[in-house]
Amino acid sequence: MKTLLNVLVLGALATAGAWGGIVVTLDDPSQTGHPGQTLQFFGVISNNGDDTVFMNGDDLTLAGLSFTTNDLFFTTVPLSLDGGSSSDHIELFDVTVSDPLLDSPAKYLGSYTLLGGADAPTDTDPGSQDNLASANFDVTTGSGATQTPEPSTGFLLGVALVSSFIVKFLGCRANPSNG
Amino acid sequence: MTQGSQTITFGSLSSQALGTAPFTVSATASSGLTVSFASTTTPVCTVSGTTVTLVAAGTCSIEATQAGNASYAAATPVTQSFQVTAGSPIITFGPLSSQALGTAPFTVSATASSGLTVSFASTTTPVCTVSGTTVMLVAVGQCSIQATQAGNASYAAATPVTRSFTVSKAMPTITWSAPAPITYGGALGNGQLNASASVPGTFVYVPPAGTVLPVGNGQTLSVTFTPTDATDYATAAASTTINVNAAPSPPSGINLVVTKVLTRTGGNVVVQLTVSNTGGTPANNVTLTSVKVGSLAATPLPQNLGTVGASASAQATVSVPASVGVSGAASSLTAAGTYSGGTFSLSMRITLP
Repeated sequence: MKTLLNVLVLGALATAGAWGGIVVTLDDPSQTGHPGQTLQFFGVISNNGDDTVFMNGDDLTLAGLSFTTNDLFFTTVPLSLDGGSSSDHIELFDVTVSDPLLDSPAKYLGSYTLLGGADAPTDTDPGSQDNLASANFDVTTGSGATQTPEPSTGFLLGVALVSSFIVKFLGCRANPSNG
Repeated sequence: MTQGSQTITFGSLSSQALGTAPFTVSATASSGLTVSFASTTTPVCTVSGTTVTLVAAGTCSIEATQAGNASYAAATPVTQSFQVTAGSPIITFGPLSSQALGTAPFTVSATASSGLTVSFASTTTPVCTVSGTTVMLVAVGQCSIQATQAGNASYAAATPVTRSFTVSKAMPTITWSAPAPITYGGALGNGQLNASASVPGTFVYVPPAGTVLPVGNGQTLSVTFTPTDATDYATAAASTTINVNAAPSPPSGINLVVTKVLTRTGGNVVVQLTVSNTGGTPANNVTLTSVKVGSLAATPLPQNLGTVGASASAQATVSVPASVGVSGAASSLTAAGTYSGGTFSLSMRITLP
């Protein structure tokens, strides 16, 4: 049976730049996606500096043509973080893998960049757009079937294969002429 | 032996002004002997030899005498009087140099030939005032200070002397500390363009807010300050420098960071987007495919920005109709695009210009 998925799980790629001590840490920066699957990227934003930092925007860059990104900035990223505080574990963005894939199964690299600074956007202030921090991530795509089998399905399949082998083996021993 | 008689001929003396330099007098005796002089009004004038020195205003009387000798009896003294009139002192008041409004009060000085104290007054009180010998600047213009000396019993009032100088516009003090280094990809904003001035006014920065500077140290930021009170304060300029550090290189070599500048033109909201590649690999065929302010799509799109090199940037300008909202309203800005082999996007909280 051919392998359904070509899964490459790599080490964590999360990196973070810093402005005033802002750090973005992704919980699971290396994820594997299958055609049709949506991957969720959670993380924590920490302000290790002393001053309040306003988070006014973010940027996503992702190599590969088989993805649709859904930036959750407006719904999950707090307006600001006081010095020494951190966000909850928040979902920063989603990546949906197209079905079928539009390019070769492989590991594709991306970056998440947070923009902001000392000033929030107001009617007299355009808001800071300093490059606060970046975190790298990657998505590995697989080919073939669209979904990974449920664990129970895999287990049953394995049991069936083993049972079949045992039955065949025992049958051969009981009836050597068939061997 | 009988002594002969003699007479003194001593002409009249004309009035003199106090302050006149000492002068000589002369008289002759018919005997040919030397005539002597003396003041009979020493509070007003004195005599030394033939020299008369004026002391004060009044009547000066000079007595001419000839004591005689073996051949001539003493002559009958002859007295001549004249008026010593009060003098007209001269005031010496040097020129005054131009001053900028805001200069601390300063003193002036002048002297009178009479030795009496000179007084000062401003003849242009809207521009400057005087208290004693201290001049205080009030406004831009021509300041005129008049020096006077009123005189006394001995001296007439001096002729006033006026000195004028220009009070120029005050130079505002601009304070602008070098901002902290920034990471490439971010745009200049209030965190960097934050000069302050000693008086109210407006600042114009070069480069302006929203600019994405290239990586490098010591990049110049300049500001021109125009005071609200342009009558009394001059336009001022200042500059500082900023260091722009390279962003952490993404593993893909491409990281497109999008920043914006929003303006309102003819009611429409104009969005100028800067796409910066903070990675070390050029991004080819960068195309902006979607920009929305709130729920309104901007036009014209798509826009192909070509290749955005490593640590380089490119710009695109789009606009949305005025119906997007009123100035000052909170809104959102989203943008998305593609490059050869990938995609990028921006989400940003904004306030409508």
